[in-house]
Amino acid sequence: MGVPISQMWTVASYVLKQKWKGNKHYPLVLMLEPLFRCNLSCAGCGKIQYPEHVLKRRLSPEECFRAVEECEAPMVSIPGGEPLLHPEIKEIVEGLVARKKYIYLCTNAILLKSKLDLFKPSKFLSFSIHMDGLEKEHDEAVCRDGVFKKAVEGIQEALKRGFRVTTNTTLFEGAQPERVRLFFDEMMRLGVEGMMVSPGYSYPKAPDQNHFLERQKTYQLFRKILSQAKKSWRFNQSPLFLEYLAGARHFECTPWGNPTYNVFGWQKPCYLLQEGYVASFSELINTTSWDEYGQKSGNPSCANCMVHCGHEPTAVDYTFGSWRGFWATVKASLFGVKVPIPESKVFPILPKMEEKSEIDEPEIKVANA
Amino acid sequence: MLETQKFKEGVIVCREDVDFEEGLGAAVDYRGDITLELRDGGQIEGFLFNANSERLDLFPKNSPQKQSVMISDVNSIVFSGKDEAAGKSWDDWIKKREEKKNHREM
Repeated sequence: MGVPISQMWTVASYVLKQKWKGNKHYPLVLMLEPLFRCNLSCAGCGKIQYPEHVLKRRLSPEECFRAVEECEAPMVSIPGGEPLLHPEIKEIVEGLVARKKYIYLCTNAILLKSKLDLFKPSKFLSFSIHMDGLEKEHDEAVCRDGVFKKAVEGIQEALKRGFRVTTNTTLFEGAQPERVRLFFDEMMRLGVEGMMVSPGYSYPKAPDQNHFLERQKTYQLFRKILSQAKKSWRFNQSPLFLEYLAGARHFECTPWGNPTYNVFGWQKPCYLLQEGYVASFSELINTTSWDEYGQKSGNPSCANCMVHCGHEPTAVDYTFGSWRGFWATVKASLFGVKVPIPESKVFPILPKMEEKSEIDEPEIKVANA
Repeated sequence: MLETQKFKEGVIVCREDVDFEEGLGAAVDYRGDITLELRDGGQIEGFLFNANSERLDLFPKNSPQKQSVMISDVNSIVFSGKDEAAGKSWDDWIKKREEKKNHREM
């Protein structure tokens, strides 16, 4: 398991508190995008294609802190754009650490080595390095040669200085399972704390429309990757989410799990769909028709989506919302994730719109306050 | 995707056009600046990022502040800025990379 106990404890107690309060729509991770500017232009990313005057805009540290306090999620992911390009990233990180938020600073690591002096190692700060595979695959995914090597240098330097380092990987159509397994070996050899992996999603703004995965292909890919998973592999994510990716179980989307805040405001769900913005977090929670998202909703945009931002919160909720979920997580953490063999043609039966999934009816009923 | 292409750089959609509403949606999706021509003769150029049934929210090109405009005040929408998403597909990149490789080998 690649998540430190203190972080697990923080998340567990937060989730249980929300359940005790009867708060169904609670966020788990705030996605704080302080700017859109990036020093890469990846073919799979539609986040950076804005006019110059928009790319110049950024959130101030005060705006970031207001969003964090408004949302109250225990974890904050800082993607972008490239957050290390933000001239006040040091202040933003320090302010979030002071607020005891677990931060995932998502970076392509091109600037990591040169910017490390800005930060102090902390259990609250983890550099989440964008790595889409081994050198050939990664450089191809980010559309620039040499980035993998640069990222590895950044990882090594950050680890040497005592920082927490994780990786985040998006797998697209054409990913080679054997190469992904070798990539996992390589990341473990480098000594990263844990890896995060997710299938890509074909969102309308992304320029790479032909290389995202459909649900069945996702199951098959992850079965090939995760069957006989090596004990040395550590993942910085819920093992139940990995089982979900391999079609060993089904989770519905929790679209309020990872709310996004950026220069435009609070993004209506889902961040992959770009359906507009609202002015406050409470407006987002209270005015969104949440039933219109997720596979079960029948929303065609959600039909094949299995990305982590919607489904990992469901896995976490399941873990801390039922004894069965808790036991499944303990088992997967101790003995490894259990996935069907790659040749298996058995796939999860997806709930129809009117049916309730097991996730909606946790076995533990926690009394309301 | 095809609908977005219909409203590409240089296209103007006016209130009286049958596809005005469609154009409004495309303007929110457009990855370049648009120019709103208002009924009072005024103009606002900027990036349109949000719309509801009554209002448009945009970042004017020359202002740090967001601005809202009532849809009823809009006379026409000009797709005036460069579409920053155009020509940046995966296939475009593969093609460019192959061309570069071939050029190096020659």
